[in-house]
Amino acid sequence: MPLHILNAAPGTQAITNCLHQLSMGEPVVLLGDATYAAIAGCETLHILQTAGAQLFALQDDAQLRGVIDKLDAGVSVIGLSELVALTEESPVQFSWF
Amino acid sequence: MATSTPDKKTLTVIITHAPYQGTLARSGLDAALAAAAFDQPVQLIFSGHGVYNLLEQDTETAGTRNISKLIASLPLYDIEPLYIEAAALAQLGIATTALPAGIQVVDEPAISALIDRSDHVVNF
Repeated sequence: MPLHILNAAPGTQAITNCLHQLSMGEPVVLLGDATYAAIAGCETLHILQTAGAQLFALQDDAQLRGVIDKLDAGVSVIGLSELVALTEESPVQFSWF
Repeated sequence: MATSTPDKKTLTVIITHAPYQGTLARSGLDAALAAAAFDQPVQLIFSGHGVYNLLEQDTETAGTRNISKLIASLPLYDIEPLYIEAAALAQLGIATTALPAGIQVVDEPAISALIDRSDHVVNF
């Protein structure tokens, strides 16, 4: 199953491009400015969830940006080691930025 | 029309970028502070992704300068209130309770009015 790594702020073209390639149940890791999309109530979050993405957010990036206490319950917070583990599981990876 | 005098020019700074990915937001704040240091009236507007600058950030691990703390110091330079675009808050899912004191949530006509009474407008 492909892994999507998303590093772009909500509402940007990179997210639209990701959605075009995204299938139900595929993991999407939110890092950098994409962690803003993990805020409960964000329109982009709703679109990703409707597309069936399995969502992860990188702890350090979410913490820096002040979104760690505003995350949607459907988003799992992961560290770098778990990100590495996810990349090991997926032979195909997309980076969207 | 701007209500300016020869030695006072109203500067409007519009920040539309999030902090930390790139330096634009930080540069916008620096521009606002520079104008205020010369006793010029400054109107600071956070629009689009710029509203993310207002969230309380934690730079402990990243070791970078904390933008939210810099923003908290703006009233000391008479940069207040901070104007926040209402539509951006709704779209990005940010509650006004997550924002610091001394902000004013404004709609698009109010932003146009702020721009109308400026002598200069800069975008970051």
